[in-house]
Amino acid sequence: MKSTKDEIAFKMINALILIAVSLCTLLPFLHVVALSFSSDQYVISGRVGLMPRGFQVNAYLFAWKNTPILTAFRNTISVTAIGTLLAIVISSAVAYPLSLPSLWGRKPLLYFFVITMIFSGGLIPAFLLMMSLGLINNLWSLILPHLLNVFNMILIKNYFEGLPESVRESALIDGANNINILQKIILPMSKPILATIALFTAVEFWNSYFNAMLYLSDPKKVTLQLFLVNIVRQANLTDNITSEIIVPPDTVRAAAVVFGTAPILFFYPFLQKYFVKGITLGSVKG
Amino acid sequence: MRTHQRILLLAAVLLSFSLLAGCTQTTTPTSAPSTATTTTKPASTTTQTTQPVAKPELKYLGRDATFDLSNSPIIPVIEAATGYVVNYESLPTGADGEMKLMMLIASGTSYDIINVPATYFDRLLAVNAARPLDDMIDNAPYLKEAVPPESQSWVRVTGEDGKKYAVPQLHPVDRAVSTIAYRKDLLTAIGAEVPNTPDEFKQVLKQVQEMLPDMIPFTTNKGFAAPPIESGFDVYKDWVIVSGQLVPNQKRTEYKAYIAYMRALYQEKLIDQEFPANDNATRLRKFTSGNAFMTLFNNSEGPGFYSALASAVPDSEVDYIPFLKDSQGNRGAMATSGGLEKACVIPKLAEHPDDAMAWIDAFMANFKDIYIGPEGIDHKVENGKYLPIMPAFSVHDTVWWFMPAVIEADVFDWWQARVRKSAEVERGYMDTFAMRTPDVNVVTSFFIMYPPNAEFIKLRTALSQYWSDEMVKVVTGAVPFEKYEEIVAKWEADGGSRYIELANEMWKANS
Repeated sequence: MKSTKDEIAFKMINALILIAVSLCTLLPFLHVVALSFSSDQYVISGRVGLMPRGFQVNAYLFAWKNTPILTAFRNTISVTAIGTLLAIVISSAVAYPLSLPSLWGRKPLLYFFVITMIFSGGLIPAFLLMMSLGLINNLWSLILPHLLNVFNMILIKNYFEGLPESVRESALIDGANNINILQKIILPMSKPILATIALFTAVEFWNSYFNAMLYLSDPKKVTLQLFLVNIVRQANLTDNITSEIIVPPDTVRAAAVVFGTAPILFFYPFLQKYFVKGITLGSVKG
Repeated sequence: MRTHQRILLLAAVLLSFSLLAGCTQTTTPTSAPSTATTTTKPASTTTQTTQPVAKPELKYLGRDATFDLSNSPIIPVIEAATGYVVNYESLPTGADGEMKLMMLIASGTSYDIINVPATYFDRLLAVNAARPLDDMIDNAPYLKEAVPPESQSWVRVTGEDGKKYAVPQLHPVDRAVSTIAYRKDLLTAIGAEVPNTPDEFKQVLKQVQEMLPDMIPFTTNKGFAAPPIESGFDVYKDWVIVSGQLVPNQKRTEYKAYIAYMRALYQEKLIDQEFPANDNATRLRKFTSGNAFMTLFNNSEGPGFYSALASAVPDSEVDYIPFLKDSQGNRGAMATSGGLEKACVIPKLAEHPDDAMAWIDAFMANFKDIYIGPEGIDHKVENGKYLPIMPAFSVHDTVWWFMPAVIEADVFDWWQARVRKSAEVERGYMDTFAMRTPDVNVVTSFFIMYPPNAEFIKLRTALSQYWSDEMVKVVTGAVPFEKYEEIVAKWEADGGSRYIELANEMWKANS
């Protein structure tokens, strides 16, 4: 169908706005990448734009050798991989019985879960709990508190509710129990929502800073975001009277930021469609 | 699911758990090889036998560290010198660090040594977490030799009961100052002279404005205080003694005159109009790109500064404004260093307090070798100057994080080996040191070595924030200059009067 003038105008304005917003987010990142590959003298005098000047990779070599970035990477990858896998397993296992109308006490149980979304025990009780569990300076302190995100669980539950009941009934007639049904029928049919929740969860684990700051002091347990926040903040301290903190130059800080962002950037284009679909997957019932 | 798929899934889960278990395993760091690095006297608590006595592992919490703490090359050197294996942990940077320290203390987490900035020590003392060390210090001969009993450093860590609650680490930089860097080539080009008074300084800025209209005459950042200008109004000290009483700058007419001067500079566009929004990097960028004639310059800003300017403006030359003379012809500056860099606390909950002090004493027994290494191998001395021998000296790069104290008699000289690692780092420090000519009275903050007083610290923090914000508003014209006295009155009403009263009480009690 031929577009009207109004539609063409709308599309053009839409495109212009989206391009402007995209540039607002893209250009600062390109600038940081350019900084990371530029010589200090150009960076300090502010002469680096979107392309590196005085090309060098020393900042990356310095970050590689003299900072705990590799340890941080390893820890963050471990936490993200294991945390995401376990989060999916636990969220699915909780969502499935809550999706069955025949579950006794279903509504009170749901309210119980929802209440935890609104209220929490607070910072100090959480810290004391981790201490009593022996999880201080333990990477499990980053994983366990986030294994069941109630919002994600509700999305999965809603998706399960949208699956045809007849499939489940026929499995029951064939003698399958609930675990078999979940494992062999429900989960294989729920790949879209599981992929989406896996992505949300992975990003959450990857970006986790506050719990890492609170529970981890051991340098062997440092995570990527903890390292990046420290290295960026150190340059901006106004009360930094320590004689010998050689503040990492802007180039090294830029290199560290690129190190930390590159993996997510690499995977994001392949998984982007799941983000877009996933937001609405659990909301509309068939 | 088929059997082989189940086996594969189980294997994947087990492998993941084993990976995580490997990451979370609290492995004991391997002990350093017991090769002696020095022939100095052994620490008083170590034995003379060839079989080392089993010593407990110590737990150490330090300030933020962006270097790779677990692989720092200085750790084996320290372990060989002290004979102790230490598990090091660090706090996060900034306000999160203080919050986490308090959380750890409140939760009863046990550390043998907590080595943190002096401001954190004040918090530890306020919550009664620090252990009194007087008896232990008496049995630490190398520590007493390094930090003599008469040193002012001990006063800084003394509680209200007269007991010492930490081992003080004196700032190793002797009276460093900030200054104003300027373009000497342009000063010559416009035919101006180096200013020596505030009027001459303003005259130079006006000449720059007329003859170099594209340049920012003087750039600084939100603090706007530039020591050379403060010298010109005799407001470089934070407290002065007038008729037997301590008086802060807020109550001095000289300071009002100084603010009026800065206000005039801003009104006449002789100072960067964006200075309240400038951070350090922005200020330096404006100067090193050739867009500013003068900039505030701190001694640690040498790295990259000179080469950046030379690269942007090849014929440029940098020099420094001398501390300006006040109406009496005197010059002075407030040092940016001084006081304590860190305070090393042995907490009340420490599991091995005696071993913690033994570690500190052993560290001080071998301090020189740990700090700058053996002469001829890691450092050399030429014409009385300490110079690093690279790359061996780089082993000592991160020792600042670990040291509990310094040998106060020698550290000012030894420290200079550390800045001579790089020509630009050295130039930044040495050039600013050279501005401390004999006629410049360099002082430190009045209460920098006084014992901590919780009420005084709290008032100082709140009042200084209020005062600096209001002075920026007055200088930029956001608040009319006529309101200056009202600001002073509000400062007094909000705690300033009590602050002055407390200051005088503390001064008289410690005189």
